[in-house]
Amino acid sequence: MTSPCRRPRDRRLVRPLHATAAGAAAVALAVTLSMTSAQAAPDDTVPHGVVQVAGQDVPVLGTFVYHEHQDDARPEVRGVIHGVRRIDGGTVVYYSLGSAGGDSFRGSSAFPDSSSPYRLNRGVAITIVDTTTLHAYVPLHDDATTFASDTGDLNSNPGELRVGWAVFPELPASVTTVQVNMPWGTAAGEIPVQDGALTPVSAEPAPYVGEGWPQVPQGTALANADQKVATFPLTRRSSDLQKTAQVDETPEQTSVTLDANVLFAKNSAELSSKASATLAKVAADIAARGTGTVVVTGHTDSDGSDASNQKLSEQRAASVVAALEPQAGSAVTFKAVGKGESEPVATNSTPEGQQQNRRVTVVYSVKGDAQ
Amino acid sequence: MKRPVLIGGIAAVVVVVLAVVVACSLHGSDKGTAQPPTSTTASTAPTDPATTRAMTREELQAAVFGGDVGSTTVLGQVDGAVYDSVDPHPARIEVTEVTAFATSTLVRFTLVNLKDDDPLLSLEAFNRKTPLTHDIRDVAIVDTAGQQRYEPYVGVSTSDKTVSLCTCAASPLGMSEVGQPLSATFPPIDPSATTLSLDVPGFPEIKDLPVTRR
Repeated sequence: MTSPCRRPRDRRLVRPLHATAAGAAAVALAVTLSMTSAQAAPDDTVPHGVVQVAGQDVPVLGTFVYHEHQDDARPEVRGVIHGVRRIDGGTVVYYSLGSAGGDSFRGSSAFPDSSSPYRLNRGVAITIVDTTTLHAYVPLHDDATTFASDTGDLNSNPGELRVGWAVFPELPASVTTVQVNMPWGTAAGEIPVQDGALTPVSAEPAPYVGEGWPQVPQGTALANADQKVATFPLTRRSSDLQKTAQVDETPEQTSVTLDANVLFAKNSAELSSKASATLAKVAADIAARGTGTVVVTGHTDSDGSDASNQKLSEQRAASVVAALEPQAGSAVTFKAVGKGESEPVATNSTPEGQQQNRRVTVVYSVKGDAQ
Repeated sequence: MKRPVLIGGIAAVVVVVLAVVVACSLHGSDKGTAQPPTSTTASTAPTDPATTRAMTREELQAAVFGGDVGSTTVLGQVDGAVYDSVDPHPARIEVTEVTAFATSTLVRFTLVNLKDDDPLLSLEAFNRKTPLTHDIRDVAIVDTAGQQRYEPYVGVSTSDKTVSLCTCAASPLGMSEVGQPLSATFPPIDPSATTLSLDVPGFPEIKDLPVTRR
């Protein structure tokens, strides 16, 4: 038997309207209908911006939705991001959340269990992400304190929103926006970074939305928190549409994995005609921001002897170096390495796996902006 | 006398189109749930009501719990199967938000079970190489305008190499007909891009998803 919680959520499919005269007329009319509908049913739109609730400014900067324990048979948790604010010694995220389902909402159901090094029952499964400097941050803690809401304070009746908080490391001065992720990796969108804690401050640890903001620790209260352990360098992952060159970028380093099936003919170390454009892009990036030694490494699948694969991987690495070096400027030096079949990234028992293993990687340190 | 006849004819066509649109709209809202197409579908994204207005606490709460928080309007959907080495699980992906920000791209989608069962989903379903990180890091977007394919950002703790994170949802361990909301944050797409595609392992690529800029 299907439980009430398992009722399919009301999702509306929108279909494309074709650019015909009738379509244009329909679009105009649909817009009119949509506007009328929004006025008639204000609950269908969630405001974005600053809302005045009982005379208090309540920023509504992002929203999120997930199911308790990430189980869609359990009630939905919904909420709002109210701010990402620079404070003395850290960065605080204000959010509110609750559930419209069930008899009552327990804050502990909205978060995974917190565990060491955090205290129990704290809302710490929140991250803020800075894609410009490629860093993510998790809540701060010290030996005695976890700098995040006690999930028990977030208990409420169905349909109510209570405000929680979590304090993160200080953000670089250049950061103007961050992405906020709520429990179970639920994205809440890009949120502006602003200065100062929200006011007025409530005496309640988790006030209802519109009834003030929780007191958050600042300054000396955060002095013993290790900001470094709450900081994660990120990797930005991209590729061209053909996946000829897959690029992994960290704040300090770029790694390009080139598909040897495109760069070379089978069992050959002579670059194909398709290789030049791909390698030109890599060389241009090295010239723009590369520094130190560029390490070019050839890899093969397991077909053939170890010796022949070793030789082929060395020759392919050398061919790539020969193509990159003249275009990459004088700020870097090159090193060619062959690994043969010794470092597979996929199984060699399938054609797809073998294809992934036939590759050349180009790894170099970067200076300046990593984005 | 021909012009009034022509205008009258156009008006009649518009009225008919209006009636069809209204009927379809009402039918859709009465129906409540998405109608499964035979292939990928997409249309315009909802606009964002940028407002500064007064509300009571109850009104704001009603808007959050009853409104569209990026999980209601289906911009495109496709049927496929969640990977399982023995018995793949038929499912549907419904994309409900694609928002391009200056420094990132947000995609929200819902995983819906097409059968009335309660499968245990493999950690490898959306993460073949590192399933023990318990996330869906193999999802990707395809930005044809920028000629790039992007995956969510991933990170590893500097103090504990066994701790990692992804700017993507945790691996769903199960799914039902209700639908499991999932999301991921990707690098920014090309400023000229008006659509993108979502690539979820086990499912056909969901193409021409309209992009909302914010």
